[in-house]
Amino acid sequence: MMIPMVNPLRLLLVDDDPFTRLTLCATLQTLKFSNIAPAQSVTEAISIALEIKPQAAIIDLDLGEGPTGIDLAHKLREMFPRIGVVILSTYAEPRLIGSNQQPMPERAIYVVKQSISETNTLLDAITSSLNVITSHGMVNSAPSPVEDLGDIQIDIMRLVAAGMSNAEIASSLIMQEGSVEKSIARLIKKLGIKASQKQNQRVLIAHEYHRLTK
Amino acid sequence: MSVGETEVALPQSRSLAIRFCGRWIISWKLLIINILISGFIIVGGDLSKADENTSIRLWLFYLLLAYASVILFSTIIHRTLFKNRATQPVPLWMVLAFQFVFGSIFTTVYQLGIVASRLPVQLAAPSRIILIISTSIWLGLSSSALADIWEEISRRHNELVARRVHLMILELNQKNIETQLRNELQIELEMGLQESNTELIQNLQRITKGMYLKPSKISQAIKNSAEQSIRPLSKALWKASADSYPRPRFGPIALSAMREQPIQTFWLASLIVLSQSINPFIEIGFWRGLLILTITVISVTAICETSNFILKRAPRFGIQIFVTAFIFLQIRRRVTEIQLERWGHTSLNASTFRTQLIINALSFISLSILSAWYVINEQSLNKFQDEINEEQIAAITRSKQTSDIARDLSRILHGAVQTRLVACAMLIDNSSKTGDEVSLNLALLEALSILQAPLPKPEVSLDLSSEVARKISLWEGLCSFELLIDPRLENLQNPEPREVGRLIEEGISNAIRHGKASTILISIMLGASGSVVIQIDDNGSGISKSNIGKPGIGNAIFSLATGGSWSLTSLDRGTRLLAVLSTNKTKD
Repeated sequence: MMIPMVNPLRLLLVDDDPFTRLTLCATLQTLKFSNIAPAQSVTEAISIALEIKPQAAIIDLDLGEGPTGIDLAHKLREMFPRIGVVILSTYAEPRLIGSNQQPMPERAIYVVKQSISETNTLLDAITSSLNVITSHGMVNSAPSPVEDLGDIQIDIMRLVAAGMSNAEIASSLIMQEGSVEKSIARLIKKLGIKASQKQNQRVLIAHEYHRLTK
Repeated sequence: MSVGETEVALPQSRSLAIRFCGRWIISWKLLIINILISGFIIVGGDLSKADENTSIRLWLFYLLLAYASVILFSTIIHRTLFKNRATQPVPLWMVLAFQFVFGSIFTTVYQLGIVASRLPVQLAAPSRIILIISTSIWLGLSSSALADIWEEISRRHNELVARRVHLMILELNQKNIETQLRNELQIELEMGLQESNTELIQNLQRITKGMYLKPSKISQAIKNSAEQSIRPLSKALWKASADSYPRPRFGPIALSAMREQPIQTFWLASLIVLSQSINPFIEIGFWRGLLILTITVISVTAICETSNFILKRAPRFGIQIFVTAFIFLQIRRRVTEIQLERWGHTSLNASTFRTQLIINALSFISLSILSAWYVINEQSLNKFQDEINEEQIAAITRSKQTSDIARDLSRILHGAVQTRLVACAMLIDNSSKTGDEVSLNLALLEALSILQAPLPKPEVSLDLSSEVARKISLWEGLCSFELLIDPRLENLQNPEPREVGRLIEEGISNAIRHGKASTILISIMLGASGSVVIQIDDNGSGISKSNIGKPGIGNAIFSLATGGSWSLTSLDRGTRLLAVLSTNKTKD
């Protein structure tokens, strides 16, 4: 049996939680990555990136208050067009973190943390993020359950889950209340929520949102 | 109960014509119920007359064929003429025509079955046709109206419960919610985790004291805990909301039916005409039948309307009026029967008379109960709606900023805690594979500390310059910043620095995300009447025409915070965002 060689890939690892960062570092080391640079914030990540010129970055989507992992990924792509990007998240879809987000950078790999059952999943994601650069085309980890939903519908879903009435949602999104109602009706249809006397459909939307953002 | 201008308007009551002409004209549920009712009547009435010459199979075949024909007819109309009836009620004449054709098809096919199966029936064919068609129209219309009323009440009920759900969540966003929510979440989380993970915590405590347990089991338990025990508070909240609407109970409805409700003249007259007048109408000849029918309608209407008139003026004698009306209706019925017997109609025997009396009493009471059920539901819903309106006004007047705190906390709960638990599980997996005892112990201790005290404290700055500097620092690296703050704003209290910081962050994120800006100049100045003027200039790609006027949270944040006093203009290179935060705005 061959002993795997040390992987010299320069990796930038960004997570705001110190323990997760430490854990991911340890995990990557067991995967034979020897050049790992951890960072806890966007500012620190960019400063380190300028120094080490990373070939791939593993970024947490939710970096706490302020910019998201997607914002950072765009900046890194601007600085290093060939960098491989893996976004890690607990959200089933990046748009669920909140509205006003940029789209995912092209060729980035999105990995839902709950889907990581073993460390090799992480290795596969990093490999894919680099492969899609050299080949061309996009690799998705799994079809998103909300990919059919528009940005406004995702906003509405989030606001329904926050307990807002249609009138409040309309006011928050500067829309007509009638349009909100129609959007909710379409949302219900797209999410496959069935009408039931026992459970309110808005509550089911909220449950669905919480399920997708757990 | 007065709740002022913001009271939500009650939905207007639907007219009877609209109730007849909406989605319930054709409904599979109602069709099945009507088939069961009519089948029960037909089987009980006609089949009892079968003799040895009757072919029951043939009769049954034609009965089923008649049902199949009307189902086919309904399906065709459902898919064509009445396709949009749920949103655009069809004209009443079309509904009547539909019910007429429906009844005619059924009657024709069934009548062919009567002839083919040699079933001896009392009535001549034309009279039966009139009887069945009238029954069909009456049954169709009344069931549509009833279903529509039922649906309306259910819909309003659901809407109100949904609003209460929203309100219960809003209620949580009160002035001191940060503390309350934190405590509740912490307690709920700890309780939930401890209940479902007592074994896990014990295992962790044991292993951290040096006792051996299989790491893979612990990591799996931690993963399960992360997935299942994070949101107990929200689940409890939904359940409490759904139970908050008081459903009217049968006892008060039945009492109110006799004591308070006006008699439903139209429905009662229809029922009486249909059940009692058509048979004799046919037997005693057309003109005499018409006379009896007219007298029946007039006398029933007179009794009911007189009772309702008296009830309005002397409501405390409700039960007496109700009973008297019933007695008068029975006297009217007896008088009619005597006259019918004189004209040659078969007289009733004592047992039939008793049975009919009971059926009459039940129909009379049922109609009143139905009416009472509707009225009490209406009253109850209106009361519930009034309560909700008041709660809503109270909830809206509370600070909206607290919802941000709640969201921050929920993000901490859903994101950080779960992430950290999953991370622990991963590290335990790895450490056990590599045999790295130090990492394993570290992971176990971390898991234990998360389970015992999972919530970190959120960060909030109190003065304007440090709050703005904190917000900018989050974005540093993505863009370069210049910041100018009017020194007179150093001790700003109103509007709150947090609000200013929130708007600045929104402006920064827009400039970077949508304008791809590399330099941002932020100026915060003191405006007229103590207002705060925020100006954010960037060197980005400018305003995208496709985004102007587009609904979205970004635009809404500025509109809500400034009351509409904000603008976005193009510069030679880049964009300028100007927003004025007035002093009074945040006081509300």
